[in-house]
Amino acid sequence: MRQALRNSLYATTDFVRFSAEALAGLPGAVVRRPGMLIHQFERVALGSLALVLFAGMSIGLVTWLQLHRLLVKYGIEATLPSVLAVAVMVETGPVLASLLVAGRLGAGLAAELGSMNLTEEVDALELLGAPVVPTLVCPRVLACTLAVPFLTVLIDVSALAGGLLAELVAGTLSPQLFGQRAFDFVRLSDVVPATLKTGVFGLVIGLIGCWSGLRAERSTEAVGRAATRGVVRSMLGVFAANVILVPLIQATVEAIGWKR
Amino acid sequence: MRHAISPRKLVLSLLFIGTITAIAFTGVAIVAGRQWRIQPTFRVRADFASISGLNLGDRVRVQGIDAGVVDAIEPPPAPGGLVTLWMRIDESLRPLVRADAKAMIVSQGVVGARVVEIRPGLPDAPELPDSMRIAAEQTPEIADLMNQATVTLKRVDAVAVAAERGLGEINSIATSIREGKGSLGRLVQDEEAYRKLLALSDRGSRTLNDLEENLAALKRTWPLSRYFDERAFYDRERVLFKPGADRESKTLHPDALFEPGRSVLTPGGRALLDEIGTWFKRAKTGKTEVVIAAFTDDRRDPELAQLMTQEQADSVRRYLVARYAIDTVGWFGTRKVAAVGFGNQAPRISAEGNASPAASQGRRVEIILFTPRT
Repeated sequence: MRQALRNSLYATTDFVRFSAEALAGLPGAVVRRPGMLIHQFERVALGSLALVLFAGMSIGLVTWLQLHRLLVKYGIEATLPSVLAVAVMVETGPVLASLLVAGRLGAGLAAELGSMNLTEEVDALELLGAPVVPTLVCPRVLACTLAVPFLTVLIDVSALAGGLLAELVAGTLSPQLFGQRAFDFVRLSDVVPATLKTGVFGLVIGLIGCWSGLRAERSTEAVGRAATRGVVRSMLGVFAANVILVPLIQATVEAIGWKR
Repeated sequence: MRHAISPRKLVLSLLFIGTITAIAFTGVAIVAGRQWRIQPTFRVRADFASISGLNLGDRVRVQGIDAGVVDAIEPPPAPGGLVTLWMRIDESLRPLVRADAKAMIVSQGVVGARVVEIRPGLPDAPELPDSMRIAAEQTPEIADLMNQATVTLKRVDAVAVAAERGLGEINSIATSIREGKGSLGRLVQDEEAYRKLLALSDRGSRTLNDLEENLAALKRTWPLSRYFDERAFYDRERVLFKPGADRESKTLHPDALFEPGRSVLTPGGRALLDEIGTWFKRAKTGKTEVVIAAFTDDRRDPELAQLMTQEQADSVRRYLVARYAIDTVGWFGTRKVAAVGFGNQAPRISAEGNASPAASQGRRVEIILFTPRT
């Protein structure tokens, strides 16, 4: 019991130190390793493209189907686009995009860095005078941070497209009306922070994924375990960060008087 | 360990970033446009006594056309002042909004958001003044309507009372006329006048009947009905008469329950009611209804006797409800528990619950359980 507690305490301090080191190295990564950064960005953004588009489409379609059934009861199905847009843009879209990326990259990063550790590549880099955090971690973390907000916009758009598709097939609104209604309740003060906060989610995913890989033991089995841990931890990290960020954002928006 | 920049990946990444940034900015522009942030606009102000919960960013319509948003809300500087509402309206609609235009706050649907509706002025009215002020028209709110309804109801009640009194007078006059006595009776020889008077009294009684019916309907309407249910207001006799239900009862003597001549429970009375409570726990089913009926044989003042017995029945009900929760079924259901004071009036229904008149049995408090037989 005490041993477990000590271990988790040790892991937490280790993660905090690791995160601080990685965050300090982020600006340097842009200047010193643009090639690596672009490589990683392409891997995160374009690699997740199909997944995100498909997920957004599916969410849009399904939300439309569920809402339509309810709203028709009260004869207010014309307000569906407004509700759908707010539901997707404010919370579902950002969280879903982050979770998808967490699923893909939490495992990917952990497995990649875990096997680099296993094959002693990490040690070789250290010997060559290339410290592991700025060389390997920073470009990956930065790529995640930058890519997730873009993917969020994409998931929002594809969810609206999915809703529109469902409306065209089974509904009554014209595309023009759908487009007009969709922005009825949307406030920039809700959507812009909601989209930008996914940058933090990306950061969390990158940090947790890399850390889980680097701290894996040197065995094939351990690499697999690290991959699983990377997914679970980065998803939990996204949820936790969301809980912390939402009230913070609301308080900030309130404080600066941004009301529309 | 430098990574060479791959041109293909660079182009793809830039394309990705560019496309999505364009989409995002289009979205932002659309939303900003819906708030009239990017179109040319002009500002108009109107002063309202109340803005009915309007918010910044709520819509403004000109002749029903979506035309702008509420831009700013300035509270009055001192009590009694008016709230100033600033609105941002599309420049293209400026010719419509003249100096005599009127602004009013209307609801969209029953529960919908509120919007400001602007009625344009007359075509030959002058342009907007520099103060940009237009007239504000206050629309009635639901709360005001409710208040008005209450006032109206009170008036109906007063009319009913007045009508009853007037009718009583007419009746007494009519009776004396019919009997041919009294000075008026001797004077009224004209058959026509007599018939008219009768017709008048007849119409009066019909009006009163109508009124009573309306009030009765009102009493049965939720939430008023709950109150009247508890007091067994209209079924005073009927609460004792339930032919479709099994009847079980316990009779207690008021002297054992209450302090003499009062409706305050004595410690002995509480103990008796505790017994009743345990008996009730045994005898009840989910559908059992409870009636607590109090009677007295004091013949001096019917009204006081009525009040006294009602109070006694109520205090028994309170005690049983508080201690034994006899008004609940399970965790969420409620049971009907009527407390009725019958005064010194002997009910037409006998103690056995049959519809045959029984002799008065004097002072007692009866706790009766009716269990519908299914």
